[in-house]
Amino acid sequence: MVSTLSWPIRAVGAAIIDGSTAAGDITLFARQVIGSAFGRWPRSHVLWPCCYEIGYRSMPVIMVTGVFIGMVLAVQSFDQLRAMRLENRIGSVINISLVKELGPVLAATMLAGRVGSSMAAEIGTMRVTEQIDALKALGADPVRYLVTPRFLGCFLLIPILTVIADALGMLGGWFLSTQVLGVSSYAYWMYSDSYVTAYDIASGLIKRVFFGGALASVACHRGFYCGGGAEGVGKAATEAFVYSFIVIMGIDFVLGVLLMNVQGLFSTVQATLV
Amino acid sequence: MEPLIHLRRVSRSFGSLEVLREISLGLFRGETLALVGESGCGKSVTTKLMAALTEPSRGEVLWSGQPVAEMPRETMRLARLRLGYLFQGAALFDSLSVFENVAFGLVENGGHIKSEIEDVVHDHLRHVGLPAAAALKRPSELSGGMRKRVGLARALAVSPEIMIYDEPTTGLDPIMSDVINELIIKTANDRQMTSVVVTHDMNTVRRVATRVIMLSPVSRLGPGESQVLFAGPTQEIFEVDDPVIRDFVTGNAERRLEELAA
Repeated sequence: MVSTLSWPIRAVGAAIIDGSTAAGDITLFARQVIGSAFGRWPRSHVLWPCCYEIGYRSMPVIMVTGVFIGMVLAVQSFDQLRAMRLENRIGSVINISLVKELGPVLAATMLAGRVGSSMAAEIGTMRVTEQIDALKALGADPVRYLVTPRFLGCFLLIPILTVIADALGMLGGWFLSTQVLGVSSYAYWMYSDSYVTAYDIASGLIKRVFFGGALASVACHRGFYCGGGAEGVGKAATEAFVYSFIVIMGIDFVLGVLLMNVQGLFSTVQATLV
Repeated sequence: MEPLIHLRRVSRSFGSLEVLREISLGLFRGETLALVGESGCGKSVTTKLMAALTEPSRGEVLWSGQPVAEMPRETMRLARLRLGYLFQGAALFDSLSVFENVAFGLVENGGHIKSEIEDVVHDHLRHVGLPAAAALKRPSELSGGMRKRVGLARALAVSPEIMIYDEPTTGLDPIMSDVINELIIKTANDRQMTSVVVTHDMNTVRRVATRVIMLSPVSRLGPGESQVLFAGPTQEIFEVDDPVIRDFVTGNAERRLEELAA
């Protein structure tokens, strides 16, 4: 009886302990990677292929994602705005959502699937085929050799990729709003311009930088410590996506609250000065 | 004489699975030590502990009397270059060519100009009996025997004092196995190399080893029993009366089949 009752408590306790351990592991790993990234710069013949894979090869998928995010936002918001006779302001809704929230999160999620899973599978395969041990045996630091270039690639290029996704999302939203839904092009851009502030753009960019770093750390961690065999590699690739997604949402929430408070603080200071 | 590598009462577990229990062994200069035992007895884990590629759960690993756990990171990285390691599946870097694989240790650790590296790579490919044209190939284009030989060339290119071979002949045909055995002997003789060979192949043991250690899986140990079933000169393992050792050496599965049936 006691054991039946205590089972859910034990299960929840175990899940909390496992989750905390994983979070702690990933944090320590990220610290090691960041330390290494600010130390010796990776060799160009290692860094450039990573940048090519993360940046250039992700362009098609990120462009398609961006366009569709913009168009879906237009479709979803048009009816409600029209009901309030505010359809001309659709540009502000689409572009604020794109720049601050949906653009960075959805593009980062897409990249977690494309880049994160592939990085975890690649490093995981190297783990199970003893290539990581071989790196160590040959005097190379596996974190510096394998993880740092991928971290730098994500950290530097994911913000750029998500900005491209945003730009295409704006164009997608503009195209659907003006060519299909009949909103005037002038109103679309005018309201976008008057509602989207520099602070919105900056806060979106800050989030993107964190998303890039977090995605690389989580994905590389799962690959680096993956279990044995093909099953272990598959599990690492799946976990890389799932964990990255959770971490991206967590960072989005924390930074969202933090940046909102900072914005509130700025407004108060500005009002006091005026 | 102080051992080059000393495992002192070392245990190693992976989660709840105990692979090594209180193993103590030393590797002495100039010898070729064979580590034998049935699958799962911890031979490969022992060599990884020797090379500091994994850490013991308990106990201590010493290199020339110095505890590895106390070495600063950079000292350990440099000290590790004294050891060459031929991995079971060769562990060649898939994204690099054969040339880049063999040159890897030299490039990564610096201090060599391009022409020196080219000379070293071609010398070592020649040493393991591979043609110069093989340098341009990718690991995926190589046979199992060629992969092992490239792995050996890569390990030897950084001029180690100690060479560890993890199942060097596993998965190879008898002729290629003999080629690899010859290479181990040639390498040990030409370079006064100290070697550790993990193998199931008693023919390899007979040909290359000067001393043998036989391990038992922890799961088969009774209370207070040592995991080391045999430790002594190579010839002696072929003359021992112990039925477990004799069965392993001769490849006699009768007793094991009876155990399984029971």
